[in-house]
Amino acid sequence: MHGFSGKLLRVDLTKGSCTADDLGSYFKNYLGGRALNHMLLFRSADVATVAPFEPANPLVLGAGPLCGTIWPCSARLQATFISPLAYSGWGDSNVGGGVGPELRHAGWDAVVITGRAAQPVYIHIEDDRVELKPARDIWGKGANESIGRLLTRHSGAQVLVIGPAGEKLVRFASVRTSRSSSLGRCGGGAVMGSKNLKGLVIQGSRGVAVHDPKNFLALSLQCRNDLMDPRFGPLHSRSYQIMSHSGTPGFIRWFGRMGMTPMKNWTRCGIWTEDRDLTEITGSAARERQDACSACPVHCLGAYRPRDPSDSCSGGPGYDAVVSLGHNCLEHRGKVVVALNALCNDLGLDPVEAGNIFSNLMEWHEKGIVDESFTDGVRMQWGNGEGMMELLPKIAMRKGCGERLAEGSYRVGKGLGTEALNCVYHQKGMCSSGIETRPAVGAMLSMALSPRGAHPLSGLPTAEWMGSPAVARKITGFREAADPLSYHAEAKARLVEFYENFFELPDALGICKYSFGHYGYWHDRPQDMERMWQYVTGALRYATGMRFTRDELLAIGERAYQIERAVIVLRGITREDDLPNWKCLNQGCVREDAVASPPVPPVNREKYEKVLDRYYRLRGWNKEGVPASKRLQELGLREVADALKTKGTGVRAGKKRAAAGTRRSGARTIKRAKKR
Amino acid sequence: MKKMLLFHPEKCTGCNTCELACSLVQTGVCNPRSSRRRNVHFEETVLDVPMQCQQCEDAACMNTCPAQAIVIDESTGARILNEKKCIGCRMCMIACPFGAISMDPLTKKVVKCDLCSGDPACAQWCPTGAIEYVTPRSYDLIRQRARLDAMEKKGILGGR
Repeated sequence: MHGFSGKLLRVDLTKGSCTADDLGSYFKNYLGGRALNHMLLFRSADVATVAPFEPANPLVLGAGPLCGTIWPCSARLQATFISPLAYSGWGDSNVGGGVGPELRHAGWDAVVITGRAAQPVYIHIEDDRVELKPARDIWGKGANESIGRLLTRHSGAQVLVIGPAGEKLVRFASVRTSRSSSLGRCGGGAVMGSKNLKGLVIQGSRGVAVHDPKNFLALSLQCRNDLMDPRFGPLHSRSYQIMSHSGTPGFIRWFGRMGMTPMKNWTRCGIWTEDRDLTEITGSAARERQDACSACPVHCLGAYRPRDPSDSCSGGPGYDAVVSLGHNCLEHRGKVVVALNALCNDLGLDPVEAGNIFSNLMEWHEKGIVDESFTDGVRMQWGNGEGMMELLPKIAMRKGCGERLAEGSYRVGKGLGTEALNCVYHQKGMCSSGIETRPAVGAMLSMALSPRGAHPLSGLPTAEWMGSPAVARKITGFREAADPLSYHAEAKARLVEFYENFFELPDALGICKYSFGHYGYWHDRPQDMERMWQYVTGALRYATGMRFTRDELLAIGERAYQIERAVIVLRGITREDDLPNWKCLNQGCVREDAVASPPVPPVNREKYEKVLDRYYRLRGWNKEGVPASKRLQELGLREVADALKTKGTGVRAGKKRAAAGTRRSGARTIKRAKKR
Repeated sequence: MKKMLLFHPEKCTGCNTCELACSLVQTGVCNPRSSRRRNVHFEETVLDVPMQCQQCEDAACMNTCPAQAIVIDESTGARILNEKKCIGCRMCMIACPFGAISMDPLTKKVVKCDLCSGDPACAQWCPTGAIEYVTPRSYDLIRQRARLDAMEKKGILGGR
């Protein structure tokens, strides 16, 4: 079929086997990318019990049917796995650059990697030829050097590699690809490391055949021109301007005005008066140019060239990295943040989680919970960039105090006791990525609910937090939906549900959320939403020859989301885990603005739970957040419903797990319960 | 004289839209490997350099072709390859000083840029204006203007 090759590559590292599988039957119900990954993950392992570092944990890579074509921003590859970081166990991460398109050009739509190699290997995919090759020479090397060596060996290839952090099973290790992008969050790098898999090298020469090239080209050009049109609308044109000129760090002040930029480990928010160096980070001398992913007219990635021999060549920090390493740690020197980010990239660490562990250390240090001895003599005071620089390699190598810190903020905090854990701004064990959600109820709900935890791209309702009342009303039918501080249950529940289903689609199609309205686009006028749907259905029709209606597409989004929910419920997630973290529930947030804005109040638990109740009902879940089998069966997910029925919801196990203290014991309790 | 393609490496973001557009227009498949033009990417220096057919006046590919399969398109001035006459000897690939002639991995045929019969897809699609299709006169003017801008930035022109 055009646009969708229907080919799945299964790699079993234990056996050393690489086999092709047919995916044809999945297309109509799952499209590809994220939605397909969810089903493949569900079918490839016992998702209720598999531990993140077990060989059986499948690492699923999937690129949607538009990925690798000329559709604007169509360069996204989705990775799904059981996460070592989030205690919900859900791991998903999305990467741009050229690796997704290359996989599609090689003729594959998805890859499922299981097992554990006896020796370090990398997977070399060259169209139909797939081989496991020894990676002894690059094992232990930094990501930059590894990429360099692999590219010398396989010129013109696209690569995914892990750094030393992934090899040492640091729970927040990332997977790097080329200079600018990475599968950053959820610890995918550690999963690869546990499989003795250093990386993937992909070379494709088959391309993606398009069903109707003439119309596809015309529609792509029209959509592309829309995206680049400064007259499209005030919201969109401003966000496009920012993205293409300075990348995501350009949003710091904008979000700050809404109170959504955090500071000082999530105790303050707004506009930091000392952050000029950080907001203008992409205008700094080290920045060489703006980089783009494949087929992208936005080019939001900053490419930095090493001026100082000690700097490693690297992509620039994005918004999340700048805020986590800069604002949250009160480190205002742009140069230091760029260097920290570059070091994270080379070591293969997630800069967001790394920033959070430092800001937490700083808060714990201030409160007297830990002293210098906890960090091997480094005084972690606010703004101590040099200290962070010193600790990063220790974390990546698990040396000294790094052994502890490599477990991530949530686990370290938990080990230190309730007071320390209360400082950690996390959801389901994942630290939040640079978006303060206390000032917006819908955003808070989506962050708290997201299966991997604090996922800003899971369903952050753009119409609410970016302020687009007409669109919010069109989606929900309620005026209150656009009011950030309103706890209108029906409006907020509908809004978040819509965005969650909706934002599954770009990942399933293989395109970037930017061109799908995450930062505006169709949010300027309600009628632009129709236009966006026409683009999506048109693109699918011309690329694949298959017709999809809007409802069918939203059903695919819902299907994907319900699988996510079912998996984390199977792994013991309950209603309690859908509540905001301690800081959100108990502490207000001081607004740090020039004008004396009132402080942001903590989340009102009673009202929040009402919204949550309404949301659960809307989703067809029971009071505990367990998907009802009726709704699952309506969506054609009978096997998921059956799994929930036979394996139990993990609720009981979850409660025991909370008492026992670790997630893994939760899995064991389920097993024991089954035996009984 | 006919229009020609002008490239500004400093405006390129490395998005590969040109290669995707070229291959889709020419073959109906999105495949940078069968694109008639290539960007060579230098990771360390953050630079993309186009390796593209310059439609040379005294074209080495034309001169060397034993089958006279490369001819001049009078309307655009492009040196185009007549697939029927091509014997696939790849002499043109060797002769081309820019390495701008390549072999399509799918069809195993030698392919080269034909300026899309006067409306090159790469120039039409480039989102940053790094590829332009211009007349020789504006080609010179644009280049001279760019050089002067660069000099002014460096302070060579004085005054600033």
